[in-house]
Amino acid sequence: MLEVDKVVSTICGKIREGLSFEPSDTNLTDYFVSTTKGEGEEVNFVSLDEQEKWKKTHPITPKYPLGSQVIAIDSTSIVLGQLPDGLVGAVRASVIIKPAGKTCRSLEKYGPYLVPVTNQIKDLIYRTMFKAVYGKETAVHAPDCLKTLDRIRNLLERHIQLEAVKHYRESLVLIDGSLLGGTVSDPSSIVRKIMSDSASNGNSLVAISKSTGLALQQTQRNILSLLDDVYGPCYMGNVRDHITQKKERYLGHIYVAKLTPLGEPYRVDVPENAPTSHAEIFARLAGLAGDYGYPEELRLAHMTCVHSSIEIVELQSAAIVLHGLTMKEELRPKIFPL
Amino acid sequence: MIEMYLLTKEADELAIVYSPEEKLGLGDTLTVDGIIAQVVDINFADLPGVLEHILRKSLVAKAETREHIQPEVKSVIDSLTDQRLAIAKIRGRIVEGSDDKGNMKKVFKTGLSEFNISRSRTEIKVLGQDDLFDALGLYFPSSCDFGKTLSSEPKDFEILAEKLGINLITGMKGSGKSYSAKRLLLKLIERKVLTIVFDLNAEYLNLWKADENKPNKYAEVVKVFTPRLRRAQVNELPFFIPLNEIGYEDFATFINVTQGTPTYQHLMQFWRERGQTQFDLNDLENFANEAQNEAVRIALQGRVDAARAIGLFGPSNLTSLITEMHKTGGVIIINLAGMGQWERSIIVEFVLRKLAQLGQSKAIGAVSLFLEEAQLYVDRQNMVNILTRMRHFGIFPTFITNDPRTLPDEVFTLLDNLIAFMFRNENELGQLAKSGLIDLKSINALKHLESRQCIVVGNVTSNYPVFIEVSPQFGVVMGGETRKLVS
Repeated sequence: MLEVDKVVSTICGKIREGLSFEPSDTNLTDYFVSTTKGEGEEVNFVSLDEQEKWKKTHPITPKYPLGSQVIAIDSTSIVLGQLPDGLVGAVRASVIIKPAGKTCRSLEKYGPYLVPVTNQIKDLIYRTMFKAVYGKETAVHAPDCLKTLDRIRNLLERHIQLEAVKHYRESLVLIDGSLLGGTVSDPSSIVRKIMSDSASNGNSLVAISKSTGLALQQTQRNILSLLDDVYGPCYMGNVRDHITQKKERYLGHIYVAKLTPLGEPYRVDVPENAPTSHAEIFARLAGLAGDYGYPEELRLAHMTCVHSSIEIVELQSAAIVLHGLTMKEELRPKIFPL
Repeated sequence: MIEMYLLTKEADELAIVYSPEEKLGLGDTLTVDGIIAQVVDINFADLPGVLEHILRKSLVAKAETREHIQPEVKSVIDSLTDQRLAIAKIRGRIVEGSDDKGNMKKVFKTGLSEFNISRSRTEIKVLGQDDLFDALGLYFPSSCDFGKTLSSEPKDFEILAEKLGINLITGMKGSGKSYSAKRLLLKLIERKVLTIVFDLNAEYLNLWKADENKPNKYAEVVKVFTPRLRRAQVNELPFFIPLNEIGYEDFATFINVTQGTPTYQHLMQFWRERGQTQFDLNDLENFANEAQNEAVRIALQGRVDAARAIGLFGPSNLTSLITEMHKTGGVIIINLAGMGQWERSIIVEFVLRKLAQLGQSKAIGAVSLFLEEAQLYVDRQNMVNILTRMRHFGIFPTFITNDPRTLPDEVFTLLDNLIAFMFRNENELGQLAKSGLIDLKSINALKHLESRQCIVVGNVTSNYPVFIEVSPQFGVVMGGETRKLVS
């Protein structure tokens, strides 16, 4: 498994015993416990003429990458409950590995890790983890506790991405999101490092996003709409060439792709200097595409890292025991008993 | 102490949730604020969301999954999905009562008229087997070794001979019922009880052996009677029915002479003339030859020839042996293996009549009777006779069968003790519930039992179902193992 102990030790600290804890409502009948991931990409415009899209659309001939290793990485976080000055959350990351020459997959799960975040310690946790993952200090203050939990999840995911591209060779590495750098949580240097380490190990890095802040300047419509009336599998781009502002923050080539004939369109970021041609990468991606045209390995990575409602109840119980918390009864039913 | 929570009560069943680390077994007795309930089934607690949780885990094979989990969380993960739900049958309560000498003690009372337990505050505890047996008034000798209870803390259990009456040992093939019957038989020998065994499959014949070459401590009191045996060998004696020990009506029945016919009347005349003297088939043949009526002569000669061909009639010391062994205890095994149905019924009928006669005349006090698969050699009327009349003569039957449906309903309504081993078939389980000794839900627990594990209920358990595992017997060739096609 990848080395995570050093990073994990920065987030699994102890907090003062005896704090009151109000567990998050958990309905065991919920199939999916929804979590918000990422801070949302800011809106930016692309000056692409919709009439020209046909010139930039390329068909894909799907090719299952039997001979290649495929790595898919995803992570989630969940709020387990509220503390007087913060919260206790849990984070988990999954790495799905399809070995070269095989169709079966293995799974490496990192977590769940219990992360207490309070107003008093959030800066310390965030900065320590930032240093542990990125190897440099940050003077940035942590945002509110909820966003800090998401930043912690993001740092864990970035750490695993960094470790994975160093550890694995000549693989197709699928990550959730984009190759956008220059943000508080994702400095350009780090995204570049992931890209360069990938390339030097012969890995083809691909970031896949179900949504994007990039919109067409002319119509204000999302760039994913470019493939609305186009049958797949196909991809369109490079869109990055047409970005109007802060182009330098977009570190990879940006495509809109449909990986199956009737699949959903996704934004796909691929480093310019990928060891494999972009056309070949799309062929392999289409070969991996399952329901809704989403790569099966990445779907599995997501599904295996999401916390089930049962796990949430178990983690709430673990948090209470580990941190010596006392259960706080919800005030609402007391005030409004009927 | 086991941390348990009361979830529901439906009719006389309590559903109790507990954690998988806790040790709670089938047959354990729980006290729930004074209510006595017995665990008859254990399941996973059916939590909403479990299916989704497990499906998600099943996306990648277990063998292909590696996890790095925070150590403090590791013990908690999956604990909820493994939560157990015990179904416990309310049996009654334990209350303060007085014994025969007026001493106050805790006693078990069936029934439950009050229900004032709390889900949140009620303390649920496992009742120790010693405390349970004490409340049930079950006191076993220190050397008891018939079996051990199937509770989380197993205790020695004994079947006390004085509490035996009409007994049924049942269970599917290979469940251990015959083995247990033999263990019970040896226990009866030790208690100086005489048992007559109808051995259909020659399973009991070697009970006197320690191994193939050596007799064991029971050898002196184990006698085997085998029909058509040419000469006596060690513990095995030839089985014969002495003509002078049966009536003309018995003989007529055995060899199919219709009542009221001239042949029947001649038989009656022959028996009356002989009175209490010794006689045999040669005497009957001479009598037949002197008959005036030729048709009767031919008929009687035919019956004499048939009786000789059967090879069952002749001098025997069976009666005297029963009378003697009744004093010392032991077992007389009637070997029915290799006998046809007609011959079997003659032999069994003779032995049963002899026992009834000895009992009625008070020549014997009480004997135990083991009937393996009785439906194969005792007709329904005789079975009812054994159940209703013979117990008044001191004959206590133990039926042993792998299909309780073959026994008449009277067995179940008059049953004193039930020893039930594993069954899978619902119909057979339903039949056992007819005894009224145990409810269907508890009987259903038999489906989960392993070989030699059983429920014992009746007089021997003060009517409280006790789950036990029959202990192995050493120093005796038990026999009766189901043979394998290829070993």
